[in-house]
Amino acid sequence: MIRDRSDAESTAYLVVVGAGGFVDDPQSGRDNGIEEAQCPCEIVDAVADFDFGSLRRGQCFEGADHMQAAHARGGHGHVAGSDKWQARAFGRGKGRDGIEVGLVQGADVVGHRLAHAFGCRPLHERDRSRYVPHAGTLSFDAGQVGPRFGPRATPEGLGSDDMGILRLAHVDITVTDLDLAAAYYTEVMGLLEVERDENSVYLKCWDEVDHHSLRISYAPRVGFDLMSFKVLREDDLSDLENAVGKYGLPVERISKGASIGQGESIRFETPSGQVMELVHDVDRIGRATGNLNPAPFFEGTRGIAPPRMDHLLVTAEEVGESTKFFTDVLGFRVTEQLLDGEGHQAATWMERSHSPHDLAIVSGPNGGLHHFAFWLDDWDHVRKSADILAYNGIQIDVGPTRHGITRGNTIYFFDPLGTRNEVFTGGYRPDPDFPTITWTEDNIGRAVFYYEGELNDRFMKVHT
Amino acid sequence: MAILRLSHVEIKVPDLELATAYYTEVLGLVETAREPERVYLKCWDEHQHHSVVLTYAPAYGLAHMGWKVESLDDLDFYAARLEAAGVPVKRLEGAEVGVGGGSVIRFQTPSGHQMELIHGMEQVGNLLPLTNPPPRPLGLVGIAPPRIDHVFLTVEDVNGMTAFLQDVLDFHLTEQVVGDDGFQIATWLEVSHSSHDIALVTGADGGLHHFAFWVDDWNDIRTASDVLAFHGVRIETNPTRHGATRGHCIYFFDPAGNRNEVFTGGYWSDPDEPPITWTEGEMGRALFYYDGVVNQRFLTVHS
Repeated sequence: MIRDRSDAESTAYLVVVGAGGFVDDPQSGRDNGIEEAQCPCEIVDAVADFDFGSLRRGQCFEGADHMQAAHARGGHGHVAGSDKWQARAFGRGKGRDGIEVGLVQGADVVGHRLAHAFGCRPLHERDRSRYVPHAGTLSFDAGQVGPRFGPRATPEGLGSDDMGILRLAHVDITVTDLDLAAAYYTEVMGLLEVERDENSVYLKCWDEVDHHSLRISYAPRVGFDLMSFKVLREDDLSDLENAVGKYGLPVERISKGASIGQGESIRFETPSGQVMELVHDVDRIGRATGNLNPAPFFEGTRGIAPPRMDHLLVTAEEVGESTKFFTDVLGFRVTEQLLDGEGHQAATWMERSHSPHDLAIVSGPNGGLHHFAFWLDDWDHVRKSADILAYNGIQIDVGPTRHGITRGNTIYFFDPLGTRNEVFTGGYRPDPDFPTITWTEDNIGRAVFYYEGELNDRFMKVHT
Repeated sequence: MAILRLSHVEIKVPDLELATAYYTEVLGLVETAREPERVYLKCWDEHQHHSVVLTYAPAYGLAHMGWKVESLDDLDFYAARLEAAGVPVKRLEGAEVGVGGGSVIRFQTPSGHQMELIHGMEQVGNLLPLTNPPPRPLGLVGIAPPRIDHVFLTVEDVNGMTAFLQDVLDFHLTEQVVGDDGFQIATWLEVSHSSHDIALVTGADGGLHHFAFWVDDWNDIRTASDVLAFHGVRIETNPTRHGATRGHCIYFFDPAGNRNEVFTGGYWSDPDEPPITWTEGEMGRALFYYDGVVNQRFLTVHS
């Protein structure tokens, strides 16, 4: 066992500095010998310091150049917004099979850049939880992260299915014109206004029982406050709080009474910079049609009137790392993944509710919201939605069309303030043992828009 | 006494085998006859011998379009009309017409398109019995539209060609896009109580913008899209809707570059209904109601 020489705030990385790279890619299942060798093994090199301020494009990716550079290199990894450009490589050795490995010390971002500078992959995106715990001491304890919710902790696979996160509860966004947004979401989207205070409007779909599924709040800029997921049991909150804490993220308890429509919750910032809330105690105000001899539809809404909120897609600089957090710590299951040319995850789709996805992550800046989506009944409802959107002069981004990934039928469009919405239906009903479907970068067009076979720039670039 | 509907289109293709494979396996038409340089196809619910003829040619585009008339007398009637309008007419009978036969008058429209009126093409029956038929035959492949629907042409003088169709051939104008200068940019006309049997858009004379097959409904548009994408066919637009005609559609290209459409919806039009007008500023919505923008490829590419 090698001790990390860094201070407690830095993170250690293993990087492969040999030409071979990590050949035991999780997709191919090939073995690189590192796992068995409990690397890093013998340190043979002296300490070397790197100044990342002097690196150029092609060596690492930064800011606006990133997307193009990353795309040219196969669509991996995004680094932005850090002023910590110093890192240190202080371990270098050989694993079994002669593969060279290195130990790098520095902040997450810098360590990752160093890995890129070496032209190799940082280990953490491959299997961070097993090799690189956050606190500074290297350990290879498989059970350390996600003891209860990770698939590793329940090798039989199905044990965690009935506990933990149920589904998306609500999305909280900011808008620059509360009245306009409220008018759009009630009259065009056809949501029901549940409650309003001076700064926010709370909305739900007609078939939803819980207090609200969308909160729009006034702010000087359009943005994304948080995504809230509902957990099945009260206990799940503390269990997940512990799991997230063990992963190394600060967790905040929000007490009862602090949020309208719900009781106690926990909040934390995900590795990809989104604020995530988990909540169990939600006001159950009931579906619009009631529970006694209900009509199969609700007549009191205008517009599209989706029965419920479905999923959201967020952007992340490190899709692989982010996905790992959601799967290992929060128990999400990956239904589909899009791999770039180097085999890195460029986007992932994950579920907790037997749907094709409750949450998806796509490569982009940390903290971003690409879109959130409402469920529709069927393809005819998709057409009717397109009619309503066009009638109201709403800017349609893409569709009606179909996804290769998820197989769903869809339209993308923008609310009047610029947040992308989707209406979605179809897909499949995956069980927890659903084998992950993989799409390769050369099929990205069909993967995302099956009919068009290509992506439009706006869809790739615009997010809030 | 009138033109009943679009009978058939003859399409030029530089690779007859490839085009035949596409129209039979992807579109799902039925091959009814074959000559060294021609393949005759029909949709499953059509009774007449053919509705699409693929013709070997070192080019693509429309060779000619045929329109079915109600009675033999109609041929004489329209021949007289055409000649009075200064359009020379050629009359063909039986074997002169080719496979499928019938009686034909053939002429060139003022827009340079080869057009014929036909009566008495051989009837081969649809794929169903006439007694106690099921609603749909089994074993269809590909999109398998029940019938051909309409043809959309490019013409330099939309006003002139529209007037020709109205005045000489008794087409009924259902919709038009009128430019800010007062001239028609595009028009839709019908003879069969549909939203359109033929449409015109400003462009090169003699050009084919697309020809369209009917499908039953919006779900069939999606199924057609699935089939097209599966086969790697170049799809031009997503499943969408027209402002003009209100129809639902998807556009795509055959391997030779001729644009195809599958179309459904719209409305039933009577001949006495006044035309709907779209202004130039709303042309985007007239063509693609959801997208609302004029797609340059859609307006410029034709065969």
